[in-house]
Amino acid sequence: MKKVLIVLFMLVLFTVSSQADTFQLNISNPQYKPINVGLWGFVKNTPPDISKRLLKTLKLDLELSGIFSYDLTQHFSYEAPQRVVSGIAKLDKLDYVIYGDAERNGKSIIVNVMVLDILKNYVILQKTYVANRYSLDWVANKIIDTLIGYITGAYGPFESKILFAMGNTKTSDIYICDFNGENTVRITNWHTFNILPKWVGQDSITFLSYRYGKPAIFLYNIFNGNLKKLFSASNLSISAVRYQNYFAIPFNRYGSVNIYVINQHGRVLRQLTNDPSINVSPSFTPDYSQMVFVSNRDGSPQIYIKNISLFSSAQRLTFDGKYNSSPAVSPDGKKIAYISIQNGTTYLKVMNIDGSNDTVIMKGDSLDSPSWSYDSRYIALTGRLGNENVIYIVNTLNKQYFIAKKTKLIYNGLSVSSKIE
Amino acid sequence: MRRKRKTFSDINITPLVDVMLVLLVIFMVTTPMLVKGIKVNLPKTHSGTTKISKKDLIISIDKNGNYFIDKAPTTLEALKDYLKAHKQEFKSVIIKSDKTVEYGTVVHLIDIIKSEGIGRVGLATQPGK
Repeated sequence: MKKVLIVLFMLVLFTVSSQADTFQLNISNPQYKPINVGLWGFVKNTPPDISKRLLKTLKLDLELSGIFSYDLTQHFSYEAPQRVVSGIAKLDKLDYVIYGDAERNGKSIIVNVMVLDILKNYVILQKTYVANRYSLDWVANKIIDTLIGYITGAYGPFESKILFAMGNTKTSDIYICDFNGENTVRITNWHTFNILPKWVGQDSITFLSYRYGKPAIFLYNIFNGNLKKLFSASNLSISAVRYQNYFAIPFNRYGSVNIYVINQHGRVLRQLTNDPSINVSPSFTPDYSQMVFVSNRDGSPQIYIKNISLFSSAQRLTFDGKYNSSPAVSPDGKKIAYISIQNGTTYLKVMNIDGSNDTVIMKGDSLDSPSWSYDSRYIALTGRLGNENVIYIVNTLNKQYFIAKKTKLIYNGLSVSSKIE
Repeated sequence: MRRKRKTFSDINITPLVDVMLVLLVIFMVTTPMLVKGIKVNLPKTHSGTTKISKKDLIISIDKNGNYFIDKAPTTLEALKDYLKAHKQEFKSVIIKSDKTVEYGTVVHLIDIIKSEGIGRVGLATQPGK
């Protein structure tokens, strides 16, 4: 009898344990829990067209930030009593509330904004902005940046512009859009190939153009329209980046491609690398003491760092994978974003400036040209999704990414500006 | 000869009873605090009391005519939005109105609730002695 009982017990145990194997727990990282924001303004006492635009941008920024979820169920104008808004937000278990209204005053638009911290019962932002139809989205960007700044301690990234090259298979032009992908404006219209744009100042950009047949780098002031041919002594598809008051350009000289410093007149001032290999894609730390670049000196394209001020030799930073390229030093000088290609798949990776803590942030198709936002937390980069090209915005802290722009053909060479005042 | 020591096999329930008593006291103290809505001087009735369940939404009107959703102060305009957004989440709406509040104010509130498509509206009263 005892034996029978033991056998029965074992049978039950076995059945239960074998069933337990079929369960799969899917536990999401609690760090990814979004912050609940009540987007409760700009419906009451606001003209419908202004309401539509403001809410669209606010929603887009909240989504792209990768840290918020929003609630649109209530509506409060700027005059709404704070204790009423706060009380209902508490009932709805929200952490922050954005509310307010907007009105037209001639050609100006007056935007009244209130942002509340519900838990601390604190007014984060109470301000009246005077905008116009062109700067209305910028007000929305400022609101979200302020909220991000209050919550995280570092001001949000949305007051910057993305520079990119877009076109068809025959021509490509330089475009500029907000960090959230909105308000795209064409910069060039030359019916030729214009690619690899880079911000080199608050209002100036460089890009490579085949306008005159041979590739040449142009310097262009986007505010006053001044255009200048910077460098044309190379037959390579290269981009120019800012190096102090000059420009760093890789080009072919004496049989190898090295990185040189040139001035505004295209005169070579200094050689930054000296190796009989291909050395391209320079990116500098904010103090210009160190340069990160790509070199194939050890056989395959890898990322190197060189202390420019000490004239020391370059140190290799990447050892994983056979193809690591497109390095971008973060504006705080602490991290390097780059693209790693392994078995045909592209990865966006971030490592510390000394090569430590190498982490995969994103995996995707044809990822390229990572560029940091001014807060050193977000990265904009190009990629491919199905039959289309996209610009991704990636939060490097929680690895959440979103599509800011989707179009048929985006060329390599995306660049994010510093904070535009 | 050594005496065989008997093992003590009973469960000592004294700590368990201690804990249970402490929990009982905590529940007795906190239960009155869990009353939904703000405290208002409700009218007394002899016929019966309104049963308030967890799924009911309590809207209170104090003697000064201020409105509250549960304990959160609100305006009629904000109340309309709240009802619109949350009407699926509660079974019925119970109005807790101070007995000095005008009849017209309560009727106006009932009208707003009904116009938001909520059919079940109750009036909270206090049982008379």
